[in-house]
Amino acid sequence: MTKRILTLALAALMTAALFIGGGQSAFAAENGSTGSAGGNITVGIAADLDSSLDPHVSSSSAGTREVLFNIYEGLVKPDTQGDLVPAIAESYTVNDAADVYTFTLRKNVRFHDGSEVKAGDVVYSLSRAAGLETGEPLMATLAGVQSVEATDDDTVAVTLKAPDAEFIAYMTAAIIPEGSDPADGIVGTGPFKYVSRAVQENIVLERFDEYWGEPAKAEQITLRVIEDGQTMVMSLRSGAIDLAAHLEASQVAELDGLNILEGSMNLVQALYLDNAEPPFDDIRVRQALCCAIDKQAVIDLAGDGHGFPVGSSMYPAFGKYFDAELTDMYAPDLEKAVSLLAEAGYDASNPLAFTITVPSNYTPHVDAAQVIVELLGQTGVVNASIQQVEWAAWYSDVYQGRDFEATVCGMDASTLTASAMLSRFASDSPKNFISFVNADYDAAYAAALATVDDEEQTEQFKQCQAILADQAANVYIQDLADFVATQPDIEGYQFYPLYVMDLSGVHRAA
Amino acid sequence: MVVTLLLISLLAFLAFQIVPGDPTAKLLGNDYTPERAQALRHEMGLDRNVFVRYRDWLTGFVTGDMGVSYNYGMGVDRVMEGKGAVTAALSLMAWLMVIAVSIPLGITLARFQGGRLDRVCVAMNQVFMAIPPFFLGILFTYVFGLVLKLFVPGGFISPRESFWGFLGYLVFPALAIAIPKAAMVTKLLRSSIIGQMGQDYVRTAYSRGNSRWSVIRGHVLRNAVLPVVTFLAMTLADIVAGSIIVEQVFALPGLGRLLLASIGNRDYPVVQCIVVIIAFIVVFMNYLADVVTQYIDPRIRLG
Amino acid sequence: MALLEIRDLRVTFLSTGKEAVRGVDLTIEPGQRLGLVGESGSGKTVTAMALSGLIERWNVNMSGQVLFEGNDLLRCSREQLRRVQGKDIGVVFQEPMTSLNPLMKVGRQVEEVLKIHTDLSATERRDRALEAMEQVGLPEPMITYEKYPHQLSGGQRQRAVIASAMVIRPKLLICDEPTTALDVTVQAQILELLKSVSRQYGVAVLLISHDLGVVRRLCESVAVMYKGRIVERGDTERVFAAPEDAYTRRLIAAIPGRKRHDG
Repeated sequence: MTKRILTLALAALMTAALFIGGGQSAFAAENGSTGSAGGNITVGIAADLDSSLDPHVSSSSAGTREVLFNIYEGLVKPDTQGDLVPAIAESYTVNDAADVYTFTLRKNVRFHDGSEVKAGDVVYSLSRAAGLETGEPLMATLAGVQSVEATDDDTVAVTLKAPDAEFIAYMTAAIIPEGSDPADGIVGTGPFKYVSRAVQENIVLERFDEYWGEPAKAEQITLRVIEDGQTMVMSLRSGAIDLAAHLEASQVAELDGLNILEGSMNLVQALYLDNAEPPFDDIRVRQALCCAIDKQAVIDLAGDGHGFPVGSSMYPAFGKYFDAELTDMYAPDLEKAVSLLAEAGYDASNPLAFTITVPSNYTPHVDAAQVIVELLGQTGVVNASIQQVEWAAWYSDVYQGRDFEATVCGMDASTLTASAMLSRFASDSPKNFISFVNADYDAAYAAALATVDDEEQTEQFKQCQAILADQAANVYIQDLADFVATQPDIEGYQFYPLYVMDLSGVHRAA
Repeated sequence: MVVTLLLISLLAFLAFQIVPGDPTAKLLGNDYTPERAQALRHEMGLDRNVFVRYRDWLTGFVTGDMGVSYNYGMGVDRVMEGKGAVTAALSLMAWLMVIAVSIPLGITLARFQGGRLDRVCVAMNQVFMAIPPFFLGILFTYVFGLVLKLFVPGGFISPRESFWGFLGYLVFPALAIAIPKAAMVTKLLRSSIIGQMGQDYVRTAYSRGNSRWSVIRGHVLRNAVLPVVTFLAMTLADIVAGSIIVEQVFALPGLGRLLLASIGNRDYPVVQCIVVIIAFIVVFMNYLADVVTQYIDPRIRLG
Repeated sequence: MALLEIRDLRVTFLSTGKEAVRGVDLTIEPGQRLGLVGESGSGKTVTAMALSGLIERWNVNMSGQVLFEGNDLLRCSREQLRRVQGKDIGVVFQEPMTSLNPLMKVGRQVEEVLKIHTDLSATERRDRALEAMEQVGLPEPMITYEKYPHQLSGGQRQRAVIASAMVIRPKLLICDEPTTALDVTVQAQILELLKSVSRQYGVAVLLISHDLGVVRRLCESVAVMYKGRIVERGDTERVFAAPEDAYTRRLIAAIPGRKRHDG
């Protein structure tokens, strides 16, 4: 018996020793690989990609879309300034009625499988995304497409059901080979081609050498899934990953010695209010909250001073539509807040009490909610409490079920259009989770969509924002700061005014 | 054993009925409308009676069809591919560490009970037992990863790349899990031995001219190890469950992390499968503990 | 030379400060069977433990001398003590139910003392064990050898304990209440066994008991202990016939069945 135990213990010790030995040799190998292969970059991402890497499935998460940006391209694509530039299309023309867009394809654009992009591929891809055959559009933005036709091998005409001056922004929809299904293989035209993925482990991309434009700098990109924020920091500090985006101020504070780039998240963080139910069906109450909540205080306390205040549903990087004047519509004014609340029937003996529901996995929103509760408490007549819920529960109960009083979250844009930020507040929008109903807004929004005149459209979209601010639909706070950390020898990361992660320029300095 | 597993899987199944959050919400994303969600629920069969669904799931599971992950759109077995190996390797390594450290240490401390080594170790044990593995994990990442550079935090190496590299990366996560457990087992074994030392048969053994060491080795150990065996078995099950947190801290692609993410995504087929696996391990280790105990102790031997 | 000579043994427990043995003098000649009688707490068991070396030394303060074949067991090293334990002095304890290791085969426990003190081979040890088991009257020694203690009856276990002490033929057998836990018929058998073993091999026996009746059956001489001291000693029959000490008289009166026996 004793002998057996001793033998077992000995065996265990030896195994452990072997493991440790193995560890050291592996560690050496790891060092070797980073030293020699300068073109391999490892990027940390906070969530695994979706099951489907189908670029036409709009339900994909922001995290998936920002990665797919490197693999797939549309006829046009956004640049770092937020302008749309030709990609697979060399040029395009719009008829005067703004309902037919004609694209001339660039020569010698190749798919990752080596074949050349022809008009047939474009027709197939756009028809598929617009659901022309099924009647059920895969991408809601393409619901207005009437038909897609190839006039010759290099020209494609897209006809719309109604004029839409913003339509070109939707032509970022990915082009895939005719007859293909992304479920069977991921083939695009982007600067990187897909190599492999392991669930919750990594996604490997490789430089596409036959790319039509400026080729990617890195030979290979490994996207490593690291959900835990602290582990992400450790992995950056240890050098296990070269780059990570979407970091928070608290994480950055631990990253001495790394390059930190500051951009913005391109979203609108607000205290979103259920406009349909008491107490927030009363505009005086909503305005009172706007007066009581000092945006800058939230930015200073929750974001360490990093963040960009906003006053309506548009973020600053969207320069064309962003109206800075709305930001200060409600200057912080406690007295005014108290008197507005008094008008609405709330005072110290009958305080306004409500619950802020926050998705617990988004620290910036949770932190902001805590500051908001503090600020509201200073009025002496508001009693707000925080309820943290799991993201899945938030999504189905708050966002889809509209069962909430107030929530702190961020709304972003999936395309470079103003309507991406504003469509949800039209009274009949299924995404109008705050149940905002305002005839003036609906009219202005409809007018913006109807016109093909750019100036007029911009004006109407600004009008929409002004209405949202004036009506105090929500307490708008900020566009969150977005930090990217890289190892000191990594260069070439660029921010976009959209939620994308362009890896083509990222490389290790020689 | 089978009944226990059935019961646990049924409970897990029912639990999903209670928690808020709907799998279709995640799947539909921005395209969500109540009508579409309803249609999708129908398509996925989620609108049927929970017991009917449980029966179907069970039939599938028994015949080797574990269902399709909602979130990854592929078979659960493919989603879990390689994940089980990571968790198994991590848990086993941690478990062997527990055994390798606690058995010799527990015996040594009991042998020199009251000595300086014993007093120091008993005090340290109290501390180690109280440290949660995730904290040790963070501590190790700092100390062994960033300061001493013995491993690269976040630099997980897949067994496909390098088997030894893979095991090497697991050493510190395993250690983080093993230390509190080893402290517990050490304490248990030490006090079990000391408890046995007061027994009459020990006095008899002394009267024959045995030294303290030979009394421990020849008589006490076998008796003292009985409760430890059961505890060690439970420890392995505990370690598997505890690896959930540690996998998070060390960014290990194991079952625990998959479980956590799948619960978040309401990916029930994956959750269900992992729950059954963990339940099986617990039940099986219990059974194994019984078998080993019976082997050691003739009094409860069957037949 | 006496086999064992105790001179002015005093034992004080450090933990409680209680002086359990207050100056005991005793002599046992080779082959002599001596009964040490007293009520519980009289110090008889402490005396026995002290001279068999089973008292944890760090817990007590012992003075006086315990001379075994001329060597003072109180002052020799643990190593020297261990050479005597089991080999020259065997001990049979009160609780046969618990004084055997429950997880070790009976045969191995019987032969353990040979393993410690002799160079005999495994087979030789086994043969000696089987022989000893047969001598103490264990049924089917070959089978019993493979059994575990819980498979034996109380009497059989006590026989096994005696076998395990006797297998090496010690010079002194200390029996601490060897029959207390057994029922009456088995008691008689065990006492008979001890007597015959003692006679056959010339083993001296120190019998610790609270029961004078038991002592009378086995021992030719007796010492009566009271509150850590020996109050009376002499031939068993003499003490029985004419006890000098008041306490001894009380003890004799307390022997169960005696009154009835005397009518």
